[in-house]
Amino acid sequence: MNPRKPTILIAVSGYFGLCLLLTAALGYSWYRAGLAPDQPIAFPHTIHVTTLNLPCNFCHLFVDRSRHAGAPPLETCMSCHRAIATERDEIKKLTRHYEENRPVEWVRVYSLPEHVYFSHKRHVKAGVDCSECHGKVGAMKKIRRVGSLTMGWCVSCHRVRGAPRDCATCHK
Amino acid sequence: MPSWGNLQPLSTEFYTLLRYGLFLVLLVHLPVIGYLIGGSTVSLLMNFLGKEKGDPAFRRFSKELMETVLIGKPALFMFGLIPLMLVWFVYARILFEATPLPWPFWSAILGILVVGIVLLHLYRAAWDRAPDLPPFHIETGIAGLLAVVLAFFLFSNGYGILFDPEKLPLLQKQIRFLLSWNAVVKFLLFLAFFFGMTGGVILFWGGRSREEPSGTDAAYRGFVRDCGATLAFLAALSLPVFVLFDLITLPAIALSAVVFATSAVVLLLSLGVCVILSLASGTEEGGPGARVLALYVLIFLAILVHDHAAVGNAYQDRIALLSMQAKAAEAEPAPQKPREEPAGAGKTAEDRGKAVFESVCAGCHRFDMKVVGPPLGEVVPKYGGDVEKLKDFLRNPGKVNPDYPSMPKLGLPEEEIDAVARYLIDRISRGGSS
Repeated sequence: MNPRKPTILIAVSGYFGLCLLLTAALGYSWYRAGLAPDQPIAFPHTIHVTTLNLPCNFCHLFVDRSRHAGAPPLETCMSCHRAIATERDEIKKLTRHYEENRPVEWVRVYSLPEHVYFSHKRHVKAGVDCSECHGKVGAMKKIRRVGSLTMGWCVSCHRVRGAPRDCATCHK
Repeated sequence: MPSWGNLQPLSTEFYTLLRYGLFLVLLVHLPVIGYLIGGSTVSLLMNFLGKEKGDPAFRRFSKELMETVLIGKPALFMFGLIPLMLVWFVYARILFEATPLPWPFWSAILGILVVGIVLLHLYRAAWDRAPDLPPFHIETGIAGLLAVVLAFFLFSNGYGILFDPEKLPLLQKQIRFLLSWNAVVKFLLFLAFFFGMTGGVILFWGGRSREEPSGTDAAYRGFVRDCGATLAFLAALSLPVFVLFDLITLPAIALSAVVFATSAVVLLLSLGVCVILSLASGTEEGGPGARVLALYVLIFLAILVHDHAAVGNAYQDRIALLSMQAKAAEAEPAPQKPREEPAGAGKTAEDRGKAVFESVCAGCHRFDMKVVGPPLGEVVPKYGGDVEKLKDFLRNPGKVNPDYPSMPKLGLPEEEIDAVARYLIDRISRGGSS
């Protein structure tokens, strides 16, 4: 046997072991990032958006009026769910929240760092369709993050649409 | 030129079929292009080294390898060019919402590929014609190889789009968004695989010549096998780097457990190649050629499954939406569980109608004000007292006024629909308000 063989084998195994570890680490970080986190109430966008054809701003009331699209107040949900699908467990959960005057603590799916100024209102007014950033929400039983929200992604779209690319546009 | 991009896919099943079709087309196409690139590169390198060192073994290897690379015009046409056109078709149908990759893009790839193959043919044919190789012999080969590699680079960038639907709206406006780090990494990953596979083939072939199957000299065959083993080993060592960078550069929506698992499988198989080659001595007869080649076939399958899964993840919402739309189009209203006892059972017709109204309709409607739906005082008079017409709407409601969301299907039993329709018409004709 070639005397160098054990050395080569150890080196090769070490190298591949390291690469496998890195793959596992990438997988773990993807898993931890939780692009589709569990929500306190399993709200299906599929039914509300696709089946019922509700426009986005039917529930996200402030999307064209404020920086934040906002989760709907419980009254909005209850205006229909006082009567509709009341026998379902998730609606019972919703009703309890409403009766106990306890807001639902939705888990945030999209968030930007503090140094980024972003306004939903401006983007909606500029005619950017919700799906361009949030994907086909109407097909998501459980909401998942679609857009990468990286600076390159923002800038690419700004460039293509001729939107301002001044630093101060987003970094106030 | 037909505008493929405007075609809607027929159904979810068709969509899935396209993805599997793409898998099969790539399964046939990539090894052919891969061996064309890998084999030509090795042949050119050996030709060059033979010229520098004056060792006839290098040039003989260069020539014999090239004969295996160009497997014949019909085969190259069948496996190299036709699949590329099929990929174009599959693309146009998968990316049905946009036409981000216009036909000139695919025609350019096809044209460059054909030029490359013709040049490589000229490079090979020169050996048969002249006892002394013509001037610019190696240069012709290099030009051919570069053309094939360029075509494959463009193809990789087109391929990369499938993993990043977020780019579709940008691509429609500017073609330069075709370039992406992930596409470059995929290009390099496939190149590494191509060289590894070529190494495996060379190792398996082992310099046996058709004319004298057993009689070729052992030194030459050992030399050929050494070349194959080195190539297969180096490619297996480089694969993990590209696999990792692929995971890093893939858009988050394309990731899933399967994608990570198949990446790990590629790494383990590459480790297998390295271990087999480290243990075996490249010069021995009946060496590890078959095993190495088999591992490279498995690596190729793992890469394809990886990509297939990633495309599926990236497009899962679009596929789900298609299936929902298809269901909605064909569906009768979903039969809802009938309630145990109809609302207001055992009362007069009017009471029954009122009970249904209060338990079902009042969630969204008042007579004199807008709630979720429009005020009934405004919309019911439009039926002009026609109970049947109102019943029709209640059986199959929908969007009438764009200012309001469409009314969901209620799934009420026929007698409740009848009762509530009569109640509403009655109340409006009496000039009622809530």
